[in-house]
Amino acid sequence: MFVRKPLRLFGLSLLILLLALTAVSGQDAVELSWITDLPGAEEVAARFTEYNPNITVRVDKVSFREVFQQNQIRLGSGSSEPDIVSVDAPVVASYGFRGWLLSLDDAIPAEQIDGWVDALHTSSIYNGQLLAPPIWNSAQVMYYNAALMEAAGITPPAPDERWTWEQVTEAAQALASDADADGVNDVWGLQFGQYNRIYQLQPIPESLPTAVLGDDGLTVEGIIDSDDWVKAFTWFSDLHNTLNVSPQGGISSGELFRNSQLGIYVDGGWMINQFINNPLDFDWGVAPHPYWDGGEVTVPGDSWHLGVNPNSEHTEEAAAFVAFASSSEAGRIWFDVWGVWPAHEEMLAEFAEDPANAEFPNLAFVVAAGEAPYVTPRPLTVGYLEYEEILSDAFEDIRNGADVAETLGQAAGRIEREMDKYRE
Amino acid sequence: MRNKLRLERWTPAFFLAPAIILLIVFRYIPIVLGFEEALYTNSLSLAGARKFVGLNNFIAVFEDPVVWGSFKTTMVFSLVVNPLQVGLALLLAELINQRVPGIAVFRAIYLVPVAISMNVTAIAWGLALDPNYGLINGIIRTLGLPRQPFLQHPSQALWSIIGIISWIGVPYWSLFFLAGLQGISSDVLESAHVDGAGSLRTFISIKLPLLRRIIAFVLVSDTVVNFTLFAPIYLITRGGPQLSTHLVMYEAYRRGLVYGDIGIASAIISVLLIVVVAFVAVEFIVLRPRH
Amino acid sequence: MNRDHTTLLRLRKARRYILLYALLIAIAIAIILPISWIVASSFSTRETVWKNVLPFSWRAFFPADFTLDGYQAIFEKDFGRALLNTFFLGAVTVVFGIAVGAMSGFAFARLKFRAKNFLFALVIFSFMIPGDLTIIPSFVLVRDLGWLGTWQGLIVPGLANGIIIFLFRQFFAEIPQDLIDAPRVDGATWLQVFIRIILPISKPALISAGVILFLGQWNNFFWPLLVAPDPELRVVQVAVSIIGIEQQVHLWEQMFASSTLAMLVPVLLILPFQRYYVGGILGSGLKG
Repeated sequence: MFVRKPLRLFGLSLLILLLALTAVSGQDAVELSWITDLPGAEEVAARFTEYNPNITVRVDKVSFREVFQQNQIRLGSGSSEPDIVSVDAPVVASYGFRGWLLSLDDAIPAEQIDGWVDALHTSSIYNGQLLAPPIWNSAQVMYYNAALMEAAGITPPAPDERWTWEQVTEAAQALASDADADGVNDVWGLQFGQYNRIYQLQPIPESLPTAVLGDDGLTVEGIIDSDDWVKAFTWFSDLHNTLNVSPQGGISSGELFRNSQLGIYVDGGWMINQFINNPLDFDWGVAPHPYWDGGEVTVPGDSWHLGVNPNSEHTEEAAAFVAFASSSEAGRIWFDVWGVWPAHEEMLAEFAEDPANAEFPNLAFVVAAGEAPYVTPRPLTVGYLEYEEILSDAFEDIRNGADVAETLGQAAGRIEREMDKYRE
Repeated sequence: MRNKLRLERWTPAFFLAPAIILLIVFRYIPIVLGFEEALYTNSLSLAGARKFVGLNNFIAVFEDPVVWGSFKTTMVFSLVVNPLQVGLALLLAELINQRVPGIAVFRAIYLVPVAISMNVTAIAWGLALDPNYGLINGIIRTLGLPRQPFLQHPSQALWSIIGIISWIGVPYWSLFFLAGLQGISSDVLESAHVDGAGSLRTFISIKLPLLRRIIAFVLVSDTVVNFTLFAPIYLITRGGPQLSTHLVMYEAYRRGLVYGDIGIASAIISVLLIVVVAFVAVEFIVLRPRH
Repeated sequence: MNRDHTTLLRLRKARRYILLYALLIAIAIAIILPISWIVASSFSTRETVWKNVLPFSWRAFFPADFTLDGYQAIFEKDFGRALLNTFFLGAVTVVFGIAVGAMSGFAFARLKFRAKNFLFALVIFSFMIPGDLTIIPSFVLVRDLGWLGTWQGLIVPGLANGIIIFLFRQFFAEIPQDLIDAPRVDGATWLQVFIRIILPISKPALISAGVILFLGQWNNFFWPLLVAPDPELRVVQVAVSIIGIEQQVHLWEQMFASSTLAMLVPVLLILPFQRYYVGGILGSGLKG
């Protein structure tokens, strides 16, 4: 007996060692690939690897437009990479329709899902399945140059004072000036950050209020060429062409604002971080997103979402990463790196109550985060990519003085033709 | 000795095989695959699953006014830009072929755009042509002339694009002509001079005919490059304003990589391929050396 | 009378010179201005980079305040890695691309074999179909070979280049027959002739081909982005497109700094070889 016991012990320990070895080798290091343009992606990936040492996430950085192209080519041809798919909120449906995203219903803890802001939760679902969780949250706000406003005799809005577009137009006209009479304004009144994308311009018709897409998620005729739309975009055209308060051309609005050449500037809350880290040399402020007098308040916002490629060789690990990147812990990393606030309702409340955020400029984050309830998701359609691209053409043409009704009519026709293929 | 002869029989294969195999695998097989892809659609089905649709994608190319419009715009663009670039490149080559002091410096400067990528060029020129803040409008105003919209107006946008690509294209092609001009023996030019021919006469009746083969080569290459022009459209105008710069490659890009419809994108490219080959064939026939 | 005539001639000559130089200088300015603006901006800070452009002033061609912030930032973002990667890529492509191109160019110029015209037509035809046209099927092909995210995926598809083969063939066709006949009579194999006789006298052709191949890789953007977006394999043009912009916010000083370096390298490369590039195969092979 006694003799055999050490032997058995020896055998047992050998067995344990072997098991441990197989367990270790079974946990082969996995490398996940992720194509994205997001600042902070490396930091989130690194934190994930701290918790899961056998999984590394390779961040393939590309530019914003190229994220979409890379997805189209890779997912469209059934490639196994990227394992983790970056999905802009409005294309969740489009990718879902094509079968490019794995259902994550069972992969994300229920309390995490419940914590997301409603609009973002809605955007992550297609056909009743959770396909792509949101990773942060954003909203558009109105920035203004207080010094220019003062010079023009305008009282800037309070941090919780939501101007109407009528007020904005009036202020913009007062702000715009061409002191040296060279035909180019020294100061412009108003400009949008993404001046030719539906993302940014959606509230202009929507706040009237009017629809931006038919109830079937496909029809645009009678909607984007309606009288309401023509009215909304005649205003947009006038800003550039008759009132001459908004510049044409491709100079980025952020640069004009930084250069004290733009009085009012509507753009994403993520610019706050830019203006704090590379300080502006004038007094500036942030106010809630404008709306039409008597209309509804609607604010562009939403987030990038992450999904899992169904052809990935590591779907389980990829889903685990997506769960982490959309958690509140990752939410804090996203905020620290570039100032987008978390997708989690609870954290937003904490955020607003944090004494560190009571004073300007950090107060600006609270103003922006306070827009969360007004954020309207972009039109939910499987044909979003076509819808967006063709409308961008139209908005650009309207800026440049093309006839509004005619341009919107043509755009409606072009989008309808593209939507036909989804109707079968 | 017999061994060596046998070896010699395989020499051409040995020299040729790498190039021919690589060309077939990486140039010709993709062309065939592209034509095949045009017969399918995979944009609406599950990833990887494909549906045979016959010639539907080709029919769509001719029926869709935007696609068809892009072919028409490309045709007009090609008919303007190719002769223009070849003509200007010839003149530029003649200019830098002058034997005057300091010419080497100018040649070196003119060579610079050749090395610059389209990305950088597009960024610089997109800004230079801005209606409000652009360098060019600054100069125009200094001269007391009215501001121009350039890329902002359908009547000027395509011309502006032609200008931008010629900033690279003209110096590039002029290198070929310069080499040709330098290869013309001085005896020929000497005798022309003795006969009392002026520089214009010499250029037209002596130099141009001698450059015939280079002109054909450049014209064909330029045609191919411009038919498939993409980067400046993608980076600067995105086809606008009012589709005035909407060239075929940009439409194919949109269909394939924005809308995700690889089938119709392949059909567009297949049709473009046929058009390019036809164009090149005509140019070869017109410019073929007559002996 | 004679003196008057000489004066007139001299005047005409002077007028011609003035016109010629005016033209030469005007074109030079059109070429230099946009470039000098990019270079000047690369030494500015993000706050001042647009100061002299909005509205435009001549100061735009000089840095608003001299700083190396942009350069420092891009090297912190691994731009150096992208430079090295692209040098390596360019060097390998040049070596193998020249080997493939020169060998087949030699065969077409000097060897007798069946289907020569057909095979040469394949070469000519291949450079009339730009790679951009077939980029998606090429991607699928390379993926099926398992070459995504690898050096060979970046290098191999571009090695056989119709223009390079064509130019080598034209160059080799001009080499005097005697140079080849002598060693052949002495029993040298074609490979020995090629390596010992032909290559050493083909410097202009080799340099031209090398420059074309290197520039092709250096300015390549879409293919590397498609085949190898991995940070370890990132190339210069891709790095330029990523570094300059973050979530739709332009980091101008970094964009200009990376653009400056991206154009500086090929310019430095092409200038010393200008003589060959111009005089080399480009012309000799195409003479009428």
